[in-house]
Amino acid sequence: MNLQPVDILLVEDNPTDEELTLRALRQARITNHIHVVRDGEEALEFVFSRGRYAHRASIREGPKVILLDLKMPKVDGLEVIRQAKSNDRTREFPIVVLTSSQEAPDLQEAYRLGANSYIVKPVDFRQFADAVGRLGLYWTVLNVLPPPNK
Amino acid sequence: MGGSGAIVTDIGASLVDVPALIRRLLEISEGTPQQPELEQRLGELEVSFRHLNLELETSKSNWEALSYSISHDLRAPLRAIDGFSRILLEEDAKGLSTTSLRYLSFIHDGSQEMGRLLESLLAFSRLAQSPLAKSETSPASIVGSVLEELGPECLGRKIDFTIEELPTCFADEMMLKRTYYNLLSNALKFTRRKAIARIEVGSLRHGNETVYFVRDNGIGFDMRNAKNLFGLFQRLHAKEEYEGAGVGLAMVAQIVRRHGGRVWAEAGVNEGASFYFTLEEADQ
Repeated sequence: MNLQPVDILLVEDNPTDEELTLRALRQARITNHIHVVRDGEEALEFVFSRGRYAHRASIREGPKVILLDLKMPKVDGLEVIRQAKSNDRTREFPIVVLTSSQEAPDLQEAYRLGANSYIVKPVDFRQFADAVGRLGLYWTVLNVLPPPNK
Repeated sequence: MGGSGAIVTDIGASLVDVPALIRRLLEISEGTPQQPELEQRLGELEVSFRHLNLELETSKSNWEALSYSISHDLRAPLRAIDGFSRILLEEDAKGLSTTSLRYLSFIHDGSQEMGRLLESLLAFSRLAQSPLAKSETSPASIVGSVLEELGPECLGRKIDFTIEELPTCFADEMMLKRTYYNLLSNALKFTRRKAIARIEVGSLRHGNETVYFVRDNGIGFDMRNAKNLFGLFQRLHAKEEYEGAGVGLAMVAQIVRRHGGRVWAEAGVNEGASFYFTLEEADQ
């Protein structure tokens, strides 16, 4: 039973993208604790500390950032944003959409629902690694979150 | 009779509400000896119109689905090919034979090229889907701003630009800018080997039409090979000599045709190229 605070929640259904993302974070020397979930349903269980993650209810500190893919089975990324951002307990978790899609409807809806940021995954690996490294550093080191008070 | 008069296209501002026109014609013909025949023929016309409209709507949603697929579904596997071949080339190189490394670099190059093609295809597809927004436009100021954007490509080169007076036109400003951008960037590319590149932007009168042109003194092309000059991904020169996906002219053709105009080219090998196009005139 893992009760260690998770710094980065990676929500990604594609195994190769998962591996490339983790590798890029490692290369950027981000050693924070990263937890990976593979669909929106599991992401919501994690965020709300229920289901498979009910044991996490005792942990005050939430993830410093949620890296969220949009197109996933079961529950998609937009639904995760909708639920997380419409709940007082979970609204503060920064959500960075990390997706292949740069289609306007996805962009508009993601921001409308309250995403903090939207990154389009480049096809080129060097650019991808650079983007992931930078956003990892930004959200785990530079960005400041309010103290937990609930 | 009756049905939606909504037109699912943007050919121009003067599009007619066909069902309403049909109703009006029937009103006018009421009581006349021509009425029965007119009723029948107008009925057929309305059916045709509705079918065409439906096809157009279907075509548009096909475009959307296709570009979404290009945008999203193709990218993830391509990223895997690019990423893992690169990782092997950079980090695991020591354990691999020269041939393996060479083949891996081919894989990586292939994925890079495919990435570029995808982006071009996406740009082309987006252009096809964006609605036309015509207004009184000044090609002269558009050319000016395009040349500013192309400034970095002119560094260190001797280029002689001639920009004649360009009459205003009724066109979609962003698309006209894309047209000039593609034509001028081609002109710059294909005059690269010239000691002094000469690029001319102007217009001429052809009957009661205004024809705009962009002319260069570059490498040109053989007119006999130019059957599909404006086709998607069509290239007339080796990639190693002149880079590019071959989408620039396809975009120009698409834009010009959507305006109701025509585009054509004249060129000779090593004799430069001239690209001509028409759009609707401002004073019709």
